Amino acid sequence: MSQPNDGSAAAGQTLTFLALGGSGMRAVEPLLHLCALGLGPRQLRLVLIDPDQGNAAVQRATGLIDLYVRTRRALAEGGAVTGYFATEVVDAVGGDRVWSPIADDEHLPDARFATRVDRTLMRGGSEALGNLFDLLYAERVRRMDLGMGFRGVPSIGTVFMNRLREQGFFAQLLSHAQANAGGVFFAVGSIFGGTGSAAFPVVGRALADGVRGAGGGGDIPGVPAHRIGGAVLLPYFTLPAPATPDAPDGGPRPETTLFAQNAAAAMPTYTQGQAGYGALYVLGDALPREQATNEVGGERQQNRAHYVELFSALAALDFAARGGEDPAMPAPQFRATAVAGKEIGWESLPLDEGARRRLMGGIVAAHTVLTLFRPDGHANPALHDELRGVTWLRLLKLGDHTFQERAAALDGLAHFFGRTWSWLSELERSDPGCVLTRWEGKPPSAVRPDELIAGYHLPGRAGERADHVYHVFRHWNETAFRRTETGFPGFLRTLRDGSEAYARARFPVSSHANGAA
Amino acid sequence: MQSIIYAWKVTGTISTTCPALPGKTGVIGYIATESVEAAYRLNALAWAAAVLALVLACYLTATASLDRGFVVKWWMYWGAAIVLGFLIPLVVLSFAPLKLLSGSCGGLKGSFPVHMSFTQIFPSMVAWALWALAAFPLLSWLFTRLAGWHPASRGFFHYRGCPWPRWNPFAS
Repeated sequence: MSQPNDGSAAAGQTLTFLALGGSGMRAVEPLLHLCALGLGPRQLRLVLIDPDQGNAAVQRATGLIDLYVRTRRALAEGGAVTGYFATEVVDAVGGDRVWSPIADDEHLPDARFATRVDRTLMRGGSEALGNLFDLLYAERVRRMDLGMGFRGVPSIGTVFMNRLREQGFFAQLLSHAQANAGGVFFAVGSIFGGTGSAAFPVVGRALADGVRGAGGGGDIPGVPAHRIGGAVLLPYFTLPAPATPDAPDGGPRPETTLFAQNAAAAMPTYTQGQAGYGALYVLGDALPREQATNEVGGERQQNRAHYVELFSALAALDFAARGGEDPAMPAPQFRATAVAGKEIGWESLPLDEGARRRLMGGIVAAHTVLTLFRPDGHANPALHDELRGVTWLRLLKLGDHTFQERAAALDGLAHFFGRTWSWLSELERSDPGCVLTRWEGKPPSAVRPDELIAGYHLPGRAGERADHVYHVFRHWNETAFRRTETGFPGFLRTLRDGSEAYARARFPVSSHANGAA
Repeated sequence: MQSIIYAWKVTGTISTTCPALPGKTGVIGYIATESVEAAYRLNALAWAAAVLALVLACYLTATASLDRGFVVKWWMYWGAAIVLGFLIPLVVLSFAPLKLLSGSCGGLKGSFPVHMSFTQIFPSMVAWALWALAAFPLLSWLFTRLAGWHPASRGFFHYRGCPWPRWNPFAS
């Protein structure tokens, strides 16, 4: 994957990101962390699609979106959103935040599949249709509670997913695409489960087709295929054997044994270009991880972060950075990357050196915020004394009360970076591990800056030096000296550029264990 | 106090004990002023080099930026400067090659070792210690003000908040 050298993935682009189902939803988290750390596009428009709105992944994603937006707003009040949190995140669905394909039927007291398609009305002249319905869907499927998602049965989902074409927000998405010729669309979903498998082909096709007679007006043309990309997630996890074969509502559970079969059956739709995508990033894992629990849905369906979700987010940023595919190339273009070994390290990330430095610098910045400004996320009553006389503070002309006045912005940064810390820790402890860090579950205050990045060690005595946050400040001082910007915006620029300078000095390419210079 | 401060340089003639002369008792000798002045110049040079070296070492060997640890370090170096200011005159003036004033000691000819006594050196020790007390922070302030404006001065740039506005190690 290619990225510009300044480290920002797609600074000038608008990326509309469609998170489809649980796996797509879980890709939102790494995407937001990457945006917060300065790797995102200029604008990120989020479309979350899941019928299971109580799902832990949905709650986690929406909570993080809220935190991102709040933090960015607080930074903007200080006049500073040009470094970290530069990406404007827009909720493209509207007030409901997550679009559910079964939302139109939510007034119905009975959430069973058969009721949602009015099976009881299929009588008389529609008897044949009713018989066909009964033939296609087994009894246990017909009585599924759809409020818990489509549970590995995509054929149910597609029945409802085409309602997307009738939604007002979807028409607005298409209109926005017409007005912003540089904007790209990117969908992420698994094709071995339920919701993602149902939504992925429908979304791509609907974007490419456009809508006819939208809002009683004229047609809205579709988006050219070269501006529509997607990450197809092949089976990258398995589920443990459930306690009971059926879900609590008597309906089916997702079955691991069917994952590969589902994916294999779905792939021809994409290889033959029927789904409207101009680019497809195919992601999977040869050794799928077994999840901790086998929950049908809801808030108990909590799974650890997985590197495949991170790679999905990176794929979206790569697609945005390239401005989509070359229109002259036949669609879809398939993109792939391979990872050697069982563990994922820095060398496995499909990023160029500039973007990698930005990510490392972002980790250093997050650590600095979480050790000095808000130690482990808490207030630091001694902050004023600890910063008195510090060179960068004076160079940036920051007054004694600047950090008190900008407490909301610092709190937001600390909360968000705290989530970033937790997410990276989860990735590290995940199996297979994505070992970008070696924190071993420790809080930020228990990790030194020189220990932040896994696999990079300075040779000789320089590598033995135990750094603390004031070693990072040495680089902040030099960065602040070169800057003309002062005040709080200057502080945020220094936070980013100074931390990157520390990362460059302390974790140079030549120090990589694998010698990846 | 005034006399102690003025004791940083030699004033007047300095007496010394003459070797025992046959038939003569209580003969007083004097140290040649030029040799005493030379010894004090050497002492001044050694003192200045020591204080300067301490200031440079304090700022240039540090690898981070201003924090409480550096302020503590700065105080320790300041203390070391005072101790050195106290000890350097003792060493230099005790071992300096002093000469007897011609005609003193009853016109004794020949060479014999001439030394200042500890009582004679002590006021200078106190004086140079006091000057070190003032010189170390003054040099620190001057270097951080003048050289510390540019990152090329390394430690003087990164620690230019010390001694001013951060000088109290107990502040945080």
